[in-house]
Amino acid sequence: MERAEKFWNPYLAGIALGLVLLTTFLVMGKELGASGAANRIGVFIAEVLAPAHVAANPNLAATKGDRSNVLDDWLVFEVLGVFLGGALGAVTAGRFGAKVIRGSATTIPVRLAFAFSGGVLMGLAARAGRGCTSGQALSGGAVLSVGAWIFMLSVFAGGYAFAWFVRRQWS
Amino acid sequence: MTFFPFTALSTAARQEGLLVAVLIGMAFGFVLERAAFGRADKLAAQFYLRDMRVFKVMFTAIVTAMLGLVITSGLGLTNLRDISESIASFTFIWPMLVGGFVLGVGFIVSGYCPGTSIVSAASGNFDGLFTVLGVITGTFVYSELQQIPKFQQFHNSGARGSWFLYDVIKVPPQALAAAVAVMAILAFIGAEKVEAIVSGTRPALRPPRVRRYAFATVSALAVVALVTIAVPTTQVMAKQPRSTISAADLARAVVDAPWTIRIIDVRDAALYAKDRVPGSINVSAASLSDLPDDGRAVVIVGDASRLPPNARLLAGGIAAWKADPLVKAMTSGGPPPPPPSVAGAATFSKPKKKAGGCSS
Repeated sequence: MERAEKFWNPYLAGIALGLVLLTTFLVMGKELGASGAANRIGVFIAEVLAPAHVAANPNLAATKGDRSNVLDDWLVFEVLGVFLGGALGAVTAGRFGAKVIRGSATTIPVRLAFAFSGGVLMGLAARAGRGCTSGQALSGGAVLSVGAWIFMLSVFAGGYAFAWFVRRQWS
Repeated sequence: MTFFPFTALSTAARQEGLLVAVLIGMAFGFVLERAAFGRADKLAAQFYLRDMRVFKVMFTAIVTAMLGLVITSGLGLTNLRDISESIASFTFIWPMLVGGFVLGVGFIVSGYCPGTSIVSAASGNFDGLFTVLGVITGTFVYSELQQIPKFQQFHNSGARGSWFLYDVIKVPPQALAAAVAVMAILAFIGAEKVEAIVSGTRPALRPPRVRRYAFATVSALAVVALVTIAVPTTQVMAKQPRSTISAADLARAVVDAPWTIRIIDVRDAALYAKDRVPGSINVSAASLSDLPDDGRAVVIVGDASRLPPNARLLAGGIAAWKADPLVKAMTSGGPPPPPPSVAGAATFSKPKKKAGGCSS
């Protein structure tokens, strides 16, 4: 258990994350993102299930751009890497294992319902914000984009404003 | 001159570029895992002031990357504005304000943000997996909502284009970056005080050594950033000579390998109708930034106040083109045929780049 609780000092982790971010800027000329890939995966699934529906909605059809496969995109590959890197980190730290992280007063179904509905809110929000905490707040914030800073401050405001209402989930 | 001219995803080297994308993603995921960002309880603690890890990691990362970028551009190794415009989405004030707030609510409800939920799922956490599925659902539902005209109107409200803080307060980017770094360190010290109050413990008399080193590194970088203001190449960055292509080179490319270039004519439609480079399309200069990068070299005909990255300007404009011997040999000298549907060509169907990291 002691080993499983060992995390990096937050400032050290921050510098490491900043160096990854800087490398991405200089080598790829791109941002580190997450929900953009989620969007593409959603469109991909929809294309398999209901191709006519995707073709009828210009917002969905436009996701594809001029590539033949909606998954043929830098962000999808980057997110695949995030998954692999996250798994590598968890395995090497002895933290890998099937579980549900929850407060002791929260049942598993309730926790999963919260996780899913929070995810839906974030998916909607990331589209409105042209990015999530990674692509907009972190990457846009580091290049001092005005919109990214508005978004970032708003994220913290939303979290603090709503934290009281869901405090039982974490106790 | 750019440090690495964004060729990593060009058609020729796309596979290698995507491999690099996986490697970069792995580094990102690994660091997030080590930062405890795969753990909902650790992330949620930020919003109950128990452990301000999210704030510390995020702002240290922002400050590190920001200082690295302004220092390299200050030394003339990179072009800050080109890179920034390539990275940052356009600013849309209202959807970003509302979207940020809703994302914050989703963050405390799920215990993750979209990126960290992937790391959590990768660590075997089912709550992380459910958040990932929720994010996919949410992004999809948004596209459905966009079918409602009023919603689409909101989606595009408060548009400000590429907009940077140093343009707003009119200071050199390096000075702003150094100021942000100093404010971040002060905020970190404040955050540690808040943590101590909330948890009812006294802050450690001597902070951990790694923290002192981290603060010293950030402070040193901030000083270097300030010093680069004095480096003469900084002036070059502000008014960089635009890269151009001669009419002769363009003519050769049009003849030899037209599929490798994309010619964008930003002049008035009337002028375009009169004379144009074969294969060029006519768009307004304002929509240039929506140009999706498909790996082809971009050549601009006319006057664009700001060239997209990778784009070159036709030297001497259409007059030089018409005067080029190769062009004269190719054409009979008569007027060109009527342009292909000018109205339809006026916009790009896909504002790809400027959708930002999470909706592109």
